[in-house]
Amino acid sequence: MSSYSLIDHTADLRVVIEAENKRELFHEAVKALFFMLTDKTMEEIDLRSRYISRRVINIAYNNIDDALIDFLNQLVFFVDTEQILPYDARIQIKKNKVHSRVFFLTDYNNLLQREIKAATFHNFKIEESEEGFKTAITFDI
Amino acid sequence: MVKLKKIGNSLYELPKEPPMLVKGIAFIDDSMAAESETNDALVQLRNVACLPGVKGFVAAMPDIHYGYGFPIGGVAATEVENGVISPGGVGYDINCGVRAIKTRFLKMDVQDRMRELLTVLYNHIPVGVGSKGNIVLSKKEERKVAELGALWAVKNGFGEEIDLDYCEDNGRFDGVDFDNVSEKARVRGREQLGTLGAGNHFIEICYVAEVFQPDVARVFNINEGQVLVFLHTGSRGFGYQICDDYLAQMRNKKLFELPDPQLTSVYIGDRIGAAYLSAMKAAANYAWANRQIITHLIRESFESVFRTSYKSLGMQVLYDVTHNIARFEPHVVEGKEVLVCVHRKGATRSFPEGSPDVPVSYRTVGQPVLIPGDMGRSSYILKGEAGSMNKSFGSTCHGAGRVLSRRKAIKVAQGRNIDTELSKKGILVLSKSHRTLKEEMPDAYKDVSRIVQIVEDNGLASRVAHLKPLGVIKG
Repeated sequence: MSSYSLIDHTADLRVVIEAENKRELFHEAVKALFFMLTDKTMEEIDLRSRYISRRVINIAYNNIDDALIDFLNQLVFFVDTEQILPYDARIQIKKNKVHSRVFFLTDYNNLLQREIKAATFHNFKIEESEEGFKTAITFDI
Repeated sequence: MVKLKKIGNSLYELPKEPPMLVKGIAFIDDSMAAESETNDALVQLRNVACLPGVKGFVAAMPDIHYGYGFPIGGVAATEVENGVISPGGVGYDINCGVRAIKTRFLKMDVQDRMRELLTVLYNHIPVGVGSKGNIVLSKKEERKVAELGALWAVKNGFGEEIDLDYCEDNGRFDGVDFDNVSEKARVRGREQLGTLGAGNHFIEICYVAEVFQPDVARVFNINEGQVLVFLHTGSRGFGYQICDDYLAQMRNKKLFELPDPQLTSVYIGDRIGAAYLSAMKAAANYAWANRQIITHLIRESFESVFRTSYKSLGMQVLYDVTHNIARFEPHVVEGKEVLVCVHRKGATRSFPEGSPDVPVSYRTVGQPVLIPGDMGRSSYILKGEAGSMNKSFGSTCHGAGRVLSRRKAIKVAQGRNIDTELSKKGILVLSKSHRTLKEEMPDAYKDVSRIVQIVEDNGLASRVAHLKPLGVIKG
């Protein structure tokens, strides 16, 4: 079962993400980012009345840790430059490559609550155990 | 827990122990030293003491709090020859800083016009999440902003040349090669020039409640009761992207293991190190241009309300300081003067009288140091003191320092109306977001008066004027 939860950080935001596999970890990270940007879960959004945009993000990696931070920062870039909000994604991870199709909401002005500067590497590591994958990411806000 | 040894009044040492390469010095009082929050931030300072080529000691200012990689309120100097540059030691918001603009008004002159004034400022200056600026830059002009900084703004009608005399480094770093700035950074910065941003960025109208050093205040041309405007912002998405780009490149290089991956660094002489420094300077210039443009918008707002020119309103720049930067400076380390790269992450330069880097008209007293507090209590104008040169690589605090996380602040603010509370204290606040007001409420910060007392006790800077807020715009 995948999940994310915010934990205390004095100046910024820190989120713990758990997932059964790497693909779900990336997917959950998108949901966590959406929550941090809007204070809403994607389940709270009525998608029927929203305009949706899609982007393809592909990342080749040597290190999955770097790939996740890169992925999140590419999403932050879209938020900042195209004013669209990532809320869901289809992820595939094969042979050190992340293939993703990310879905964005275009109703930016009504939903955006917080500016995020970047996902940081602070004390960042993806840990694997029998239960799956777990990590904590600090976002500079 | 970090090992802490008290060595003076509001002064602690983190003894050097493996893998630290130098000791740490923390300008904190006994109660701060006992707080677990401070301990967490000092763990980050201990990590900074492991950077290759770090010289002398690393320092924590009294507004230290937990950040990412470096603590906020952290200072480290690295050797130029065998030392590193760490983008995490500058932060994503490169050249985030504070500018103070004087006015000829006294508190009583503006108090009754505060709502009108704040409304005009709020409508004239793009603020808050997702705001876009009104300046459309061609690609050629983007390059010029990055190369010329505040001078670009002045050349394009935003202010006047004398403003540049009152910015650190005259609002411009030389040595920018724009080819070191990625297309993504250019795109991200393209529509954000002249915008305040969100979070802890603000514009504050405040007045001088008390003058501590009348002789110095005379040199700065400030008086009791006088109204000033404080502006806090930085390099916006342009700087964030540059930090992100170079951290990724440096991680690919993986030269050495460090306790925290956010401290990823390369040698200053490395090709990527040199490219980062050039791009960092571009971002610093963007930030100076940004504060210069917003200064112009603030002046226009005052002109519109008071129906006279900003010059006749006495709206001169008092000073502009940066508190997220890496800068090459000569410092005496172990008895020898050496050129070092001083990383100031949430720390302000505090150069004393006589320093050639201080504007000529302030050189007899030292540079102004602008220390905003929280929106409900106080801010300070300090002056740089000689003690900073051997105790903190010419640095002092940069603000009050957070004490509550944003989540805790929102919990504490539950059921309270922060605007009304501030309004009862005579402080008017306009913000795009109620959430921001709660996250940034006064209780979320340490009392800045306590912070500046510590830097004064340690000879890093001294108080010139105590300011109190009248009106605040939050992003």
